[in-house]
Amino acid sequence: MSITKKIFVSFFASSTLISCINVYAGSCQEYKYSHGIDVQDVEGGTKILSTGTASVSFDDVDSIKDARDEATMEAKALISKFLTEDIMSDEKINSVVKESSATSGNSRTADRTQLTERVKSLRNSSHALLRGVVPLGDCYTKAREVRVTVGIKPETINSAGNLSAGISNSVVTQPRTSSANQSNTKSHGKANHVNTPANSSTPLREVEGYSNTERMNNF
Amino acid sequence: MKLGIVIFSLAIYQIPYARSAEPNCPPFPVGVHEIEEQGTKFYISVARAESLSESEESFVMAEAEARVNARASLMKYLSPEAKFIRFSGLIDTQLCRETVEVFAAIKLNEQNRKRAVGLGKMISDSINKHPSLLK
Repeated sequence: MSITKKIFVSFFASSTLISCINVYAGSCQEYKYSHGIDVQDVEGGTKILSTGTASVSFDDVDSIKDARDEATMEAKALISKFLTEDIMSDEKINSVVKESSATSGNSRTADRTQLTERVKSLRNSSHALLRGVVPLGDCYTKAREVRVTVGIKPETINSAGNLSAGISNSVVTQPRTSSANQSNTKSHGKANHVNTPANSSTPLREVEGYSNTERMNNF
Repeated sequence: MKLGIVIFSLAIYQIPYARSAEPNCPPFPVGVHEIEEQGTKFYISVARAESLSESEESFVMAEAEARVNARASLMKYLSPEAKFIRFSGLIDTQLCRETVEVFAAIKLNEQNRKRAVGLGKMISDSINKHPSLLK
């Protein structure tokens, strides 16, 4: 093999490896949880780690924020579904009548079509009041996906309950300051309106991929 | 040269989503399976759906359909005449793709049912004891 060929091969191999390493640097590839829930027994009950995913259309701060919210909701929905999930099977008959008229020369014709449709639908739904769900970690793969993990365990449920009780007691014992806030809002209520044309384009505010799992270790 | 090819092959293998076929897809044949392990019984329901196109959105729709079908199969298996059933502790165990087909597997067992009921009770007790909504 000639020296030029050797140089070319080694350069190609090293650049390929470097590009692969860059794909993994701070992205969901390093994140240990994928979509779904992980149920474990702990002291005093059950601990659940739930991970939701959402795809990202643009590598932009706002788009990533929306995807993070979506993934968080999905992670919470997975916990709710684990607690109770309803499955319904409906069979119904839809009858649709379509009438139309058309004029052709001096005559007028009417057309009546009846369509009977048999529909079978399956639905699954879940609703539950959740308390004590805490965010544990998230990751972002550039322009591809966001994953968010939330968790719930007896300790967090109790903490949320105690916090709620503390806030309730505080509000009951302290006088309300809503009128003062209202006057503040009035005096400082001049919002800065920026008129932006609907079709104006702003540059994307890109975000590097990351994987944040710090809080998971202590959960 | 050989070394270059080997390194290149390894690098390609590492690129995410380069692989299409997944091992053990589906984990069980389509249908409901009653399995007994160490004296406890659990159910695995596997269903399939087909993606109408190769777009990611179409696969996501097919995945949702497969998940619902797996639940419907389990409902029919457990209670053939029922139009409504409520599960607790149901877990999606696997979702995999094989060419245009999507397979979903769900699992229902007594241990998870008890865990779900226990956790649900703990949350409702906490909310009843300390309501979070102030009127």
